[in-house]
Amino acid sequence: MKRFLSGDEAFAEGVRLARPQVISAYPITPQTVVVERLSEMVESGQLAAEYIHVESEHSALSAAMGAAATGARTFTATSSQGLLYMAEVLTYAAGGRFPIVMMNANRATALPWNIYGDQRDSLALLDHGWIQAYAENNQEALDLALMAYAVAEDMRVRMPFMVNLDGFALTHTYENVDIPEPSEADAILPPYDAAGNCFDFDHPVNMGYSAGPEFNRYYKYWAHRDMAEAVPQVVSVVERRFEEVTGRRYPGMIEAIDCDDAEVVLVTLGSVAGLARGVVSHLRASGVRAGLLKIRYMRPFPARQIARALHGAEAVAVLEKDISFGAEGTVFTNVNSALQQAGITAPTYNFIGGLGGDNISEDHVVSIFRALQCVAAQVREQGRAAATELPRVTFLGVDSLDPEPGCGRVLGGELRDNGAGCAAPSCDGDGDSSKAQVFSVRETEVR
Amino acid sequence: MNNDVSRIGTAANVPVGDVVRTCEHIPVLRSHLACPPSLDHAVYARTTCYPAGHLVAKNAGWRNIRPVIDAEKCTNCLQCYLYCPDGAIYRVPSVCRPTELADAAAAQATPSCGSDPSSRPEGRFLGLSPQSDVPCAPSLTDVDQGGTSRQVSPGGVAVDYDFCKGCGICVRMCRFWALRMIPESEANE
Repeated sequence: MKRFLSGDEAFAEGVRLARPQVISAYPITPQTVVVERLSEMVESGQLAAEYIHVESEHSALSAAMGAAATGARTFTATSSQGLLYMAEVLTYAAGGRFPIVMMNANRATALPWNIYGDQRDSLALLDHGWIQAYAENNQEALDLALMAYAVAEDMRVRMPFMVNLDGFALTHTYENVDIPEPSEADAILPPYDAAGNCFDFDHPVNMGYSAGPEFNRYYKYWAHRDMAEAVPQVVSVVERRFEEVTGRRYPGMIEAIDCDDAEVVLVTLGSVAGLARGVVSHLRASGVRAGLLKIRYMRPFPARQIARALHGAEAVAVLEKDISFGAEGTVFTNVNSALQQAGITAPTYNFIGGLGGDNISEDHVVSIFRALQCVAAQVREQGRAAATELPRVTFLGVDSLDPEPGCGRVLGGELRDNGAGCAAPSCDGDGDSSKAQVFSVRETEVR
Repeated sequence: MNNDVSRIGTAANVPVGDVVRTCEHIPVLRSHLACPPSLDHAVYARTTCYPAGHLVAKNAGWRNIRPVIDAEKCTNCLQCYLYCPDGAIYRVPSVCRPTELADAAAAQATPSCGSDPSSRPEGRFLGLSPQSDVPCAPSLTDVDQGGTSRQVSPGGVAVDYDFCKGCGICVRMCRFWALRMIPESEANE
C-alpha cells in the first residue's frame, strides 16, 4: 500500500509491522512524531503493545531493557540530547545483548542549542556496542525498521540496533512509501525468541551481573567478534529474504555507485547520499569519472568493503554532518583506518557540512568533486606532496577559500560548472593559468 | 543458553567440614553441582545471563575473627540466624543430647513466658513469647517408644565459615552468651 508519509511516520509504520510488545519512549524533536503515531496506534488497537510513558530518555531505554529482559520485543526512539541522556544505558543494553531497536533522529547537540539535523549525536556514540545504520530516504527508513529487528534478534547477532534518520531532512519530509502487508512483515520477521536471555521462573537466571578482571575481556571479545563477523552475514540473509518478500533489494553494508572506474569518489551517509546520487549522475554525463560510496552501516564498520570500493580512486572526499572537536569527522577517521589497513594511499579529504541543520546543496557536492579532481591532477603532475594543496578538513560555509592566482587551488568566487576542470596543465580544457577556472564552495544561504 | 542447573530450594547434601547440610535455602557452590552450567567463555560470555541457584566461589578471605557457638548455651532463639547480614548462619535439624546436659542447659535458661513450653503441641520449635522478647526455655523432655527419657534439643544453628565475614553481629545479638568471636589463628577448622 502506497502512502505519502514523513520519515517519522514511515518509521512508525515499520514499527507497527514489527509488532513490538513494549514501547517506552520520551518525546524529543524531531523524533516526536514517531512516538505520537505509535501511541495513536496503540490507543486505537491497531498495535497491541504496552506503551510506557516514562519521564526521561534514560528511563525510556532502561524500561525497554527491562522489558527485553522478560523476553519482550521492545522499541524506543530518541535524538541528540535524549540519546546522550540514555547513553549510559546504551552500554547496558549492548553488553546485556538485548536486541532492542531504537530509532534515532539525527539532530545537533547543544551548546548552542539546536533542534535541526546533523549527525553528531549518533556518530559520537559508535563505540557503545550498538549496530548503527543510516537511512537515505523514507522507504529505506521504513524497511530498516523491519530489518533491524530481524538482524538484531538473529541468534548469531543478539545485540541492539540503532536506525538513524536525518532530523527534518527525513523525519519531517514527505515521500511516497510502500508499506508492506502484515503478512509480508511476518514473513520477514519471525516472533522474538529470547533463547534464555530473559527471566524465567522455571529456569532462574542471574542477569546483568558484574564480571571482574579475570572474565571481563571475554564479554567484550565476543561482543566485538559477533558484531564484526555475524552482523554482515545476517544483514545479507535478511536483505535477501526482504527482497523475496517485497521485491525491494538492499545492497548490504555499503552501496558503491560508479566506483569501479572512478577517479574521484565521495563517501557519505544518510540523506546526503540521495543528494549526491544526482550529482554523480550529472558529472558522469559530462565525462567526469565520479563515484559515490554510501555507507549504510557504520557499526560494524565495513572496512574491507570500503577499501575495495575505493581502491582505484585517485582522490577521496568524506562528507559528513559531524565533527570530533580537535580532530576530524568521525566517519573520516573510520574510512582512513580502513584505507590504511588495505594499503590504499590515495589522498583523502574531510568535508564537514550540514551542522545544526545547515543545508548541503548540490553546488557544495559539485565543488567537492571539482576540488578532488583538482588535487588528483596535481598529484599526477607533481607527486604526492601536492596532496596538501587541499586542506585535510574543510567546513562548508565557513572555510573561506581566498582567491589566489595560480593553478590547482580551490579558490573563492563563483562556481563555474562547465566541466572544464581546473587550470592544472594535465586537466582537460583550457590550461592557460591566466584564465584560471576556479571552483569554490559557495557561501551558504542564511536561513 | 545453558539452563542446566539445580534449582533453589532443592535440598543438597553437601559436606562442609564435618557438618552435613540438609537445610534448604543454602545455595551450593557451582563446583558441587551435578551439572554445572558452562564455563566455556565462547558460551557464557555471549550474554550477561547465567543460570542461577548457586554461588560461584567461597568468599571469606578477609575474615580476621570468627564466631563460635557454644551449643550448651544456645537456646535456638534464632536471632543470630535472622540478623546475620550474609545469611552465613543456618539452622541445623534436631540433635539428640544426653539428658543431664539438657537439664543443665534448662537450668541456665530463663523461662519468662506464661505457658509451659513442653505443653505446647508444636513442642520442639521455639518462638518468641507474646509477652516479652525473651525466648522460652528449651527444656523439653521426650519419651521415645522404648520408654527411655532423652533430651531432644530443638535443633540449633551453625556458621557457614565459607561465607562468614566475621562482622560479629551474631555475637552482638545473642542474649545467651552462646556466641563469641575468636581470632582466626585460634580456629581449628
